Amino acid sequence: MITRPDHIEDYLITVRNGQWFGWSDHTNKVYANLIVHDGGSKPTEQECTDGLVQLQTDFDNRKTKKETDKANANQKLKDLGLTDDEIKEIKGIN
Amino acid sequence: MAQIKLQADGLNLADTFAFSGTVTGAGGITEVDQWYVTSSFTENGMDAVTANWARFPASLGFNKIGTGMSESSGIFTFPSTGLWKITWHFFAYHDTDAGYVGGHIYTTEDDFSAEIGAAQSYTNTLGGASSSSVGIWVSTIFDCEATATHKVKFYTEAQADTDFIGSSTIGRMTASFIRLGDTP
Repeated sequence: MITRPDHIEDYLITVRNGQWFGWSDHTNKVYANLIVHDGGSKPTEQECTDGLVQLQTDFDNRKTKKETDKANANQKLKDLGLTDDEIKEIKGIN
Repeated sequence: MAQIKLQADGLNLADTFAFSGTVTGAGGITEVDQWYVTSSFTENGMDAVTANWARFPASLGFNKIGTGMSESSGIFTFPSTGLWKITWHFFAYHDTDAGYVGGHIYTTEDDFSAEIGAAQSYTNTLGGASSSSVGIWVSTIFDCEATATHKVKFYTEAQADTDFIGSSTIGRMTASFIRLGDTP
């Protein structure tokens, strides 16, 4: 996901494909208003909560890893003797 | 009008008219409606959007003109015959192997015993890249000759799992309908 997951709907779309769920009141998307369209099982509120937390953790970990990888790559280039300008040049950001 | 500006041979179109009352019989737009999908979903392949439709609300700056469309399981029925401009737009993102995302408008002249591919559009995505965003915008003009049989529905398509983003607070996946005039 592009933005950090912040709602149980972010978890629900990962449970199964299609428009299997909706809300009895789409202006108030709380678990109590969650409805199932396809006759399939409805996740528990705890599963939704845990699922959202997991998505947030995964998102944060990916972000952290990306930042770490970037910093490590820069450092390794510097260790090879490249200047900041040279590093920018090979990244195409000059 | 405070001032009558009629000439012997009709209206002078170079004049300025300031109407303060109601003008009737002059044509114009009589039907405008817009709907949106209020929840996201993940999908691959090509599927009609059949659920979670709602009329675009006044809180998002919209008030329909006229009777408006009716919707059931993703099939939209027109309130009156005529030429209609139909627009379908949505936003999606993915972090899978999807190489393309598409959008389709399908109409029918026999209540979807058969359907007509009225409009489709595709965009390539950055297959394999994480968090690629895509936008789709499709439009067509449809001659609704009978409201009981001439209808429309909307599809999404993706090569692999893609998140189609609905929202109840932002118009991210919308279908709009404007009646342009009478059926020819």
